[in-house]
Amino acid sequence: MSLSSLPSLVSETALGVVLCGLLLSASAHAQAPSRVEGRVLDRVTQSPLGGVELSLGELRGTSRVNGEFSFGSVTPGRVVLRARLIGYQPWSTVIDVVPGLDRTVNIVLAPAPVPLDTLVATAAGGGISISGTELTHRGTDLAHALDGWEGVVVRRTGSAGPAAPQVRGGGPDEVLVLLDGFAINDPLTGRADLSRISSRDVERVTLVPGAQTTRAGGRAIAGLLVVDTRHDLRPEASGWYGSHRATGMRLGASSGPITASLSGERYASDYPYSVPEVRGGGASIRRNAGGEQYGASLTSDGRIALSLRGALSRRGLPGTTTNPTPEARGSDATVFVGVRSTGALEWAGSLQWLETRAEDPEPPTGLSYDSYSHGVGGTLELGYRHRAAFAGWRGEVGAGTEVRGDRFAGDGVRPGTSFSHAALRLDGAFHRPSGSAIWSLAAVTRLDLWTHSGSPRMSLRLDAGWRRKRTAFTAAVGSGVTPPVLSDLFFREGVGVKLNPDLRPERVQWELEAGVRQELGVAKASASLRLFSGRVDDMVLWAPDFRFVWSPTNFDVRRRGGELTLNAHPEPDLGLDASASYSAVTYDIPDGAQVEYRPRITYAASVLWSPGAWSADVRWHHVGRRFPNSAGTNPRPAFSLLDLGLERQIAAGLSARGEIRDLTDTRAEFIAGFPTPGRSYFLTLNLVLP
Amino acid sequence: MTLHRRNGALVALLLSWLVVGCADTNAPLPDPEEVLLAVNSTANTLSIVPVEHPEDAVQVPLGGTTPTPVGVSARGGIAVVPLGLDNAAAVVDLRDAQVMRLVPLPANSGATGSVMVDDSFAYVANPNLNTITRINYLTGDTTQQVPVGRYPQAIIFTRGKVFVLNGNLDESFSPAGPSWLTVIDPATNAPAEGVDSIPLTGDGNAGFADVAGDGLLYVMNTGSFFSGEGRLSIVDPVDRTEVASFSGFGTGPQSVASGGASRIFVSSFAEGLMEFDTDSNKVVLGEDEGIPIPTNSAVAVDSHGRVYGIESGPCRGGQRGKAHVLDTQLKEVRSFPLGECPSGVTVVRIPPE
Repeated sequence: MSLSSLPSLVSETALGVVLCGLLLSASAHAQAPSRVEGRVLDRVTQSPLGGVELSLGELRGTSRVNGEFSFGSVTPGRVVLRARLIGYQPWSTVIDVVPGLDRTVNIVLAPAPVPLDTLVATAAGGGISISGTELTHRGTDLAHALDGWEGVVVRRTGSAGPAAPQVRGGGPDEVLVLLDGFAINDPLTGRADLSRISSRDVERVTLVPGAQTTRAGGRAIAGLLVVDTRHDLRPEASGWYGSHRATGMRLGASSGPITASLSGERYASDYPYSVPEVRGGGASIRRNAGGEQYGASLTSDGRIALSLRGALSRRGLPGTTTNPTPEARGSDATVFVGVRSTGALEWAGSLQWLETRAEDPEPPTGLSYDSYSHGVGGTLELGYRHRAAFAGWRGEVGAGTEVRGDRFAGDGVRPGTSFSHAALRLDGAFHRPSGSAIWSLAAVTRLDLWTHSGSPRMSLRLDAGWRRKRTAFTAAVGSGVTPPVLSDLFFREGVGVKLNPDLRPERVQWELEAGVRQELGVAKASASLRLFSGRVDDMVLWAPDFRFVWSPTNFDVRRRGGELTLNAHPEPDLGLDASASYSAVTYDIPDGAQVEYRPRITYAASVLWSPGAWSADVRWHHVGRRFPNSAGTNPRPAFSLLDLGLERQIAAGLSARGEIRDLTDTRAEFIAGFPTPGRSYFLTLNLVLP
Repeated sequence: MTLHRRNGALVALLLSWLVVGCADTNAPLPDPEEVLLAVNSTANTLSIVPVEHPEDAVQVPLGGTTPTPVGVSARGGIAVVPLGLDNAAAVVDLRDAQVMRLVPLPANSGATGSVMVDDSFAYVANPNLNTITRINYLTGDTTQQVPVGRYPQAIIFTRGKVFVLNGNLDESFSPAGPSWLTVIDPATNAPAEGVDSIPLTGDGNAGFADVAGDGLLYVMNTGSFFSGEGRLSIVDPVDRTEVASFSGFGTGPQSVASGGASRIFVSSFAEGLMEFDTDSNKVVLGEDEGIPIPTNSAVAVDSHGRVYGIESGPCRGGQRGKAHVLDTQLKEVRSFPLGECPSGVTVVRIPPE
């Protein structure tokens, strides 16, 4: 160990001591938990409603077939009880939970259409949800919290900064992320940066894997992530400090329907990494990997919802460890405003401005550059939903249309770059009780038309479901289409990169899906298995030609695999989760190799134990080997990450959380040459005012 | 009769035992095995193909992660493959078909060309650093870089000297002017005494060379891959002067391989396989006359005079390239698959152990 590394070691040790001391020395704030129970009824028929999604503060549950529900071990205080069911108006109330006193609350739901995002999350095709509480135990932001969850792989290239999700072997620009109903995918790159969303601002994330462009629009060619933010923030603040000088803070508050939040973060930099064998092995320090990002949001909940968000980031662009670029810097800024009205007649609109800059005055090789681009985009959506019933089926039908326009200028794109996209959607979702079983059926078709697309492109999806007591089956067949991302269509040609004027849209051809979920009846355990198989024609990937000139290029690929998930809650304060996913995404040629940087196998397991004022969590995540090329050679090694967390309620409204990320100091590289920090310590303080 | 036969058998057996017992225990070694080596760029592998049994080919993963290795040099049972932007050189044991070691090169080396000068040392060109590095491929040791010309892409060894092909490419990787050769004395690991720089005619981007049967160096100045015209320089390695320069190869000629006598073969993506005759100093098959091998990225010739015209293929999507085997009349006699994007080839004889 060199002397130069001593301060870092002292700092790490001190952080660990402080972390342990805070967690161990604080006195517990003992409060007797209470119980909240009740029943959910239909306002018109007064019949009990089963399957209603319920949330009580950070707790989640579902009403039974007879409409009854109960929450045990509720922390005393003022909390919001919410109820949602497809075909009914959302319902909520604030209740005061008194220590040691049980509460009974009866809920009456009024029939009403529901907005599209709720339909997406609950339709027959089925989404998989994770609550905000669980997310906060998995990571401070969604990039960390969702990595490894239900087969989601977050592609990251450093300590922080842009981190986009991959699902079912799709690319990072093939997962649509909706934040309160609005897409947050970058209009240029198509990628959604999950690192900008704080876990504590999130009420729930729902993953709908598979081709979902018919339901949700372009980019959802591999899956859809629906992020619902919290609108019940008491004034609260969080601050954290971690290894390698990572720091951050977050403020949030709700007042009536208005919720505001502010955040700022400085990334880890100058962290050690393992030098690959090809470079001689050993260890070195990753330079120019740091940066900072700031975000602000203001949202208004209600029948007309408003969303105003802004973000700014500056970061180093360190290059690969083999060819580092110590002087390269990047920055981007964006402002977004969106408004959405729900009801029988839905409408929504949004406007976004963004700018991005990348510069390197002294690159080790090639020309120096200073590339600045900016653009503006807008969307308009209009939809109508109508309750319908036939032959015992109840549900709703809907029709909608959306248009989108983007215009960009600057050094990174061709002059006069503009792109327009219009779509028309027809859908219906129905369910039908049959004895103790419930059948569900959803169908949606969509026509898409965009700049230079020629004729409209049609896609279709059918979902069917059957649920009885502890067992549920789902099946689906669908197609999908999405245009290439704008950066692939309109980037400015340069040394070694060339536009592809023949670039075609990506199309999913009749992908088949089937799933089963079984409540096991012991330890509140459940297991689910989902399988899928299909083709993606013209997947867009960057590749060199025989002259080593790189272009975005279309490739036909086959996509098949599955996900297996196990959950158990043997004790009220103990949760166990495990999942395994297999995604074979291969070039559609004889003996075609796995597509670059798409791990075939991922495993994850987590344990959350929260006895009283303490909570402890352990998370293990394994990412299988990835190929850096289309030939399926020289695979990058698989890696496993083990994270530990310990949280303690120090006083009313004040909690401290310590984390050790990558306990075994793996220093993983998802992408060759872009290592992530190894073992890191984090201490977070959370203050929630009464 | 039976006894007579039995005695005869015994005599035969005795004779056989005597013959075997007195046989030379140092039997002659088998012939060296001649193999075609092809560097598959985007796959980052080395194909080892026995020329008599191409069906026994193997692909050796080189351990790099970038699609940038383009050249290979070999001697005996060992090959050296610079790994381009991985800034390393892979040393491959051709008998065991595996990487013996990875030799780290200086950061941002971008190593492409190499040459093996004896049974332990090789030189590797670092085009991004305008230097070459001498490596001991048996131990992995490297010595201090030697400055050469601008953008050295390839190296060739003849007459006891190392000739470095300076491509003279600018920051946008376009030819900035004519190329030249830098002459290095491997004994001193420094520029050779006397003439240490040989100017070449043409538009630059010299990246391929071979020594022909006449002992002269034939250097291809490719110029721009996309426009202009390549020129073949003939260099006397003793006088260290360019003695002639020939055009007629169209746009983007690349690899050069000697057929042993007076034949020089030239590969070209645009033109296919072309030929130059060193006796008559004439382009035998030039622009618009090449053997139509698609995406012809490289060429090599074996000891039987068979010509291997390499088709790189599209270099993506997992689609493999192939080698077209031509007889001395340049008629295709067979073909066999290589890896994805074969870009550099050579033929070497592997002596038995």
